[in-house]
This record gives sequence, structure tokens and C-alpha cells, in this order.
Amino acid sequence: MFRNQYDTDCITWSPAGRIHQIEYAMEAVKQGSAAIGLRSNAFALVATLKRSSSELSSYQKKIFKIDDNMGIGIAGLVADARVIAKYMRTECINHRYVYDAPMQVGRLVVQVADKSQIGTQQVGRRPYGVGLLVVGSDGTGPHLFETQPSGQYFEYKAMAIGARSQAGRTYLEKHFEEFPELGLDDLIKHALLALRETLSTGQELTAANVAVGYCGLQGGFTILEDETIAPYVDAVKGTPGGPPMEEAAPEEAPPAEAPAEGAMDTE
Amino acid sequence: MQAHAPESAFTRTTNPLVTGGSVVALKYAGGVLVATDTLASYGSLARFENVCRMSTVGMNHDVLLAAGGDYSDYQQMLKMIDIRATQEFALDDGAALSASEMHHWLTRILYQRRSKMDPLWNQIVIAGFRDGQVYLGTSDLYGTMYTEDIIATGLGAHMALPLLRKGWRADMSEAEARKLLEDCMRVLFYRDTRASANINIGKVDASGCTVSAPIKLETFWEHPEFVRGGGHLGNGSW
Amino acid sequence: MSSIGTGYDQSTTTFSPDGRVFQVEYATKAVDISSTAVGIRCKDGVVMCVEKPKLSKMLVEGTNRRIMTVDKHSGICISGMIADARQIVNYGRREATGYLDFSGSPIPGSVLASRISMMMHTYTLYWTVRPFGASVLIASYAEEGPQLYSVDPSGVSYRYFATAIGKGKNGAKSQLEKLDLTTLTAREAVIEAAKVIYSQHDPSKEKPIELEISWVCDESNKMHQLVPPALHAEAEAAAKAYREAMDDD
Repeated sequence: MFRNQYDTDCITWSPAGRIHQIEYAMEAVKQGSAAIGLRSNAFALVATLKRSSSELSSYQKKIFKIDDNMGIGIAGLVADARVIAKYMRTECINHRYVYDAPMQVGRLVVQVADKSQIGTQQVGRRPYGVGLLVVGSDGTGPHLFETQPSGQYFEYKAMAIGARSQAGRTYLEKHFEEFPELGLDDLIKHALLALRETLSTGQELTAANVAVGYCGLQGGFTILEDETIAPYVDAVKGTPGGPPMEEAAPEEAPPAEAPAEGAMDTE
Repeated sequence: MQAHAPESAFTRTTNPLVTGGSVVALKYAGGVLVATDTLASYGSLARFENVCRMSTVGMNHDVLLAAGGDYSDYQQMLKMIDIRATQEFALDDGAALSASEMHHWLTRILYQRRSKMDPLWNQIVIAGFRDGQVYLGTSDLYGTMYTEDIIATGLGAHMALPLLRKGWRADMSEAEARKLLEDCMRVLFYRDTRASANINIGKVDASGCTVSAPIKLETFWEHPEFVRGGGHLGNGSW
Repeated sequence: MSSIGTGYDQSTTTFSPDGRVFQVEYATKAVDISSTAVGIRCKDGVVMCVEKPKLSKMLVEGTNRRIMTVDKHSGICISGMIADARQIVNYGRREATGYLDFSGSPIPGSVLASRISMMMHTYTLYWTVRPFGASVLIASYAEEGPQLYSVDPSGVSYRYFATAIGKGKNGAKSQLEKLDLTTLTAREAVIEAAKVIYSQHDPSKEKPIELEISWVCDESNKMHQLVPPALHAEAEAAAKAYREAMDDD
């Protein structure tokens, strides 16, 4: 097998001007189950598909509250995400102490992106293996941002990251122009339908494997999961679309319920 | 060791040198007026007679900062705010510190500096207007802060505040507020040996934040008691 | 490439037998495959313009900034790895703040460019770090008048009347050479810069692009900022028309 001599650390440039380690870290995001983010004029929300490692285990949490006006949904290494979430919470608390006001979402996202870049340029470090969808609202309205292991960030009107997220993005691209005027219930419905597009064959949305976090103009980050998300999951059940319910197609990627073996599972 | 702690404690500039006097401010219907005189004293010497002790600050110059106490510390504070405003200008994300945020930030700095025994030796007044809301607050060199409808610092806290309490109403017009403010500054000029009759008036309302050119207060010195003096009472007082 | 497999291209701290540092050249390659950016110094200011690929229609307008303000009177336009370049911008902001705080006057373009190039050069000297995968254009208009600089991943810096970085830099530079920079105003340069960018963009082969344009000039009160929306629209329209005329020939 061809041995790539430029891909074992993040401080070696390849002749093509690429850093393979950063690109591999971006792959870790694609291994994690999907997260969907979207926003209206009044709300920003994120929906995630949770995995459990066995019948007896619980589902891995993928939405974290950061502050009263902010939360994140993640795809990739949860352990890395917790480090970033802790950093973000600390920054928000410090900001409240100094200014007695919530932090600008976009400014914190830039800080997170800058922090992520540090791990891509020094020996002995690695990039974070997680992508974030940051939702929140501040003086300039509701926002949705994506951050990447490379230290890139973007602001979106709607976005999907993680495994099979292309299908989710396709759904969102078809509908995102309606979102600005929609109420919370309709937004959640769209988020769940976009999330359903990312399911693998035979899988379905349940109250146990779905969670939604949202934030309104008045602040307050709310997470809907288990019994609180159940009515929304039931409501989209009859809607056409989603993956076929038959047996798995042969060339499908590994099903979401059985993540690849490894010391650091992606979620 | 412990017995000598007070002597060995490390302190820095714990007394002011060139100082400004009182700041007087009040809300009225739709805005805030703030007044300072133009004098900076070196001890009891009227050292600089034409300095301005208030400034519009922040990225959009929509916050008014007025200060009494050490003048160089006030200048330092303006410099810190300007650096912060330039950072916000560079971010170019549509957000800028409000008067309330600016007030809290400066108060945290005041508190941290006093906790290091190296205070910024000022009493500050901050006024702003955003989203239809008027803001008026004050902090001192210890990092104490509060917001109020009427504020007076320095000797004004003793001599102007009673006048403000008596004359102030929430529905005052700008002209009424200006009259009350000028009366306060006049009384301070009569009674405070480190005050001047030249004053700046700053205004914050929906249209923005401005500082007037200095104006000279009308004074009247022909009161019989002023002319006769208090010497006949035998106790040196009026 | 002859360097591959020789073992002399694995570390920033290794010279090849013919005296090259391949890791720096590879980092420069990251810029040469990235968005084209141009800078023009004219008589009354500096204009910078960069293309941004339209990655998704769901992106919020104006996000993914490639031109950033450093100080009131200076800005940086970036090409290459955006995350790397942001660190350069942050460094520039710190230097500008420190200079103003210490000396009381705004940082001159020459000082800003030399501080940034020294910092970027540092990243080519040690095996524990890698060179920046980004080049920057620096625009400044302080007491010394309008100035334009560019700094490469190697830490090399030059002052220019007009220059370009990124994948279309060679074509863009020959376009820029045709301009009369002694008479051009900043307002006119905005249009010309947009045209140069579009002239190097082939819509049949590449993703659609949008422009980001900034200036620091007399008209902007010597403040570095994005050009007003009306002027931006005018420039983009003129550039698109120019491109279509090119394709018709």
C-alpha cells in the first residue's frame, strides 16, 4: 500500500500545499451522527441524532447548553466537544461577570475557531476531531454557526454536519427560504425531517434517539429530549420521505447504530 | 512579619494629584443631562482652567463618560476605552458596547485596581440611550456602582443632591432639567472652593450623544450678606 | 516534483542539497491554490479585493470574511488557509494596539508589515511549528500616506503600487500593470480591482464567486472598512459585464 509520508502530523506540508492531518480530523466529523441546525427570525435551533453503543446503554448526548442564550450540537469526538464546551461556558461566564450581558454568539465562535487553529500548527498537538453547530441569540438576532477542526467557521441560515449530512443539506436547501417566518413548532418539524434524511436504512427517528435544542430572541436555551420531543417525533411520522425501511443496501456506510471500533468513538 | 504587614503592604498611587470636582447628572423625559466644570486643580491651586471632564466614548460615540478625581487616571480610562472601541470597529459585526456594558466593564476595572491597592482615583458617571431606554449610572474608585435618576459625585453628593431631590421630576422637559442642573452647578461654584463657573453640559437622547462647548454660569455677588461678609457674627461664618 | 521522496522535504529545519527549504515552498503552494486577491495603492488611498467561492446558498451574506480590519486606518486581505491567516490578523491587531498605546500614534504600514513578516518568518525556523499556509496584503493609510504591502509564508515582504496573491496572481499582476496608478482614485480602483478578479475567474471551470472589497482612503475618512454596498454592487456588476465581454471575444 502507498505510504503517505506527509500525513502523520499536522506540522508537515504536503507538496500539494495540504495538511493531511487536518483533513483526517475533518473525517472524524463525518463519522459522527448528524446534527442539523436552522434558524428563523426569532429562533435558532439544532437537532441531533443520538447513538447508543448497545441495547443496554443510554444514548450519547450531543447537545450542550453553553449559556442562557447559547448552545451547541456536535458531530465527531464527544470528548473533544466537551473540552470546547467547557471553554465556551467559561468565556460566557467571564463575559457576564465583566459586562453583565450575554456574549455575542459570533464573537465566541471566532474565539473557538482561533483556539482550534492552534492545535493545527504545533508539534505534539492534534486538531480537534469535532464539528460544532453553534446556535444562540444576541443583540443582533438569532444565529447559527458551524465550526470545523481546521479552525474555519461559517454563519449559516441552515446547515447539516456529520454522517450522511449531505442528504440533510439537500432537504434544507429545498426548504430554507421558508424558515425566516416560521414558528417554533414548524422549525422543529423541518429539523426532524432533515434529520430523518440522514438515517441509514432500517433506522427511524424515535423519542430516544433525537434531541432538539433551541434558543429564542428572549434567551433561554431549551433542550427537548425523550418525552418532551416525543410529540414532535410522532407528528412527523406520517410525512413522506426518509430512508427505505427494507434491509440494508450492500454498499451503505456502516449503520449508525454500530460505530466503528476504536479508542475514541465518534458520536 | 504579621506585625509589620501594614508597613510592608505594597501600595501605589493612593492619592490623586491633578483633580477634577463634582459631576452632576439627571434624567429627564427622553434623555440625560450631565454637567462638569472645566477646572482641574493641583491641590488647592486652580492649575488648569479649561479642561473638559466628559467625553463621548465607544465605537459609535453613543456613550457619555464624565469623571471627577484624578485627571490623568481619567485620561488613562479614555485610552482603554478607545482601544476597546477600536477592537469592536475591527470586528465589524454590528455589535457595540452599550452604556450599561461599558459601565459594568469600567467598574470591574476600578474594582480590580483598588483590590491591587492601585486604584484609578475617579468617580465616574456614565450615560447612554439604547432601544428607547435611558441609562444613567455611576461608579467610584472602590468599584461601587449603581444606577439612579439623579446622580452627583464629589462635593456635589452633599450640596447638589438635596437640590436635585427637591427639584427633580421624571417628566421634566429638557429646558427644566437644564435649569435645575445649572442651578446645582452654580451653588457648587459658590460653595466649593475647587469649582469653576465654566461648565460643560453633555446630553444623551434618542438622537445621540453630544458635549456642549463650555458655557459660563451667570453669578450674582451683590447679596448684602456676601458684601457685608460674616465677620460681624464673631464666628467667621455666614 | 523532484523534491518528493528525497527526504529533504519533511521538515522546516532541513535544507535540500541545492539550498531550498521545501516545507516553505509547500506552504506557499497552499496560497497558490487559493482565492485570488488584489491590492491597489492609488493617489488617495488603498483598495483591496478578494474572491470568495460561493460554498452554499445557505451561507449568511458576508460571512467567511477574507478582509479584516486591523486598526482604524489599516486592514489585511488574506489568501490561503483562512484559519492560519486569522492568527496573522490577530497578531497584527495586537501589534497595532501595542504601538498606539506605547507611542500615541497609529502604527505605520511599514512597521506593521515588518512586524508581521518577522513573526511569519519565525514559523519557518523551528521544527516544532509549520509555516503559515497564507499570504496577506496589508493596506494602511496613516501619516505616511497610503501604503500597500504583501507578506508571503516565507516571511518575505515587499511594498507595492499594486499586487496580487492567490491562484490568479500572475494574470492579475499583468492586468494591474496596465493601470495608471498615478491618476487612479480609490473609487475607480474599486471597479478596476473587481474587474481584475473576474478576469482571472473562469466560470466554466470554477465555482461561482462573490467579492469582498475594502478601502482605506480620503473618501472613507482614512478608516479601513468594506466599501459601501452601492459601490460594491456597481463594482461587481461592472466586473461581470467585463468578464462577459472577455468571453465573447
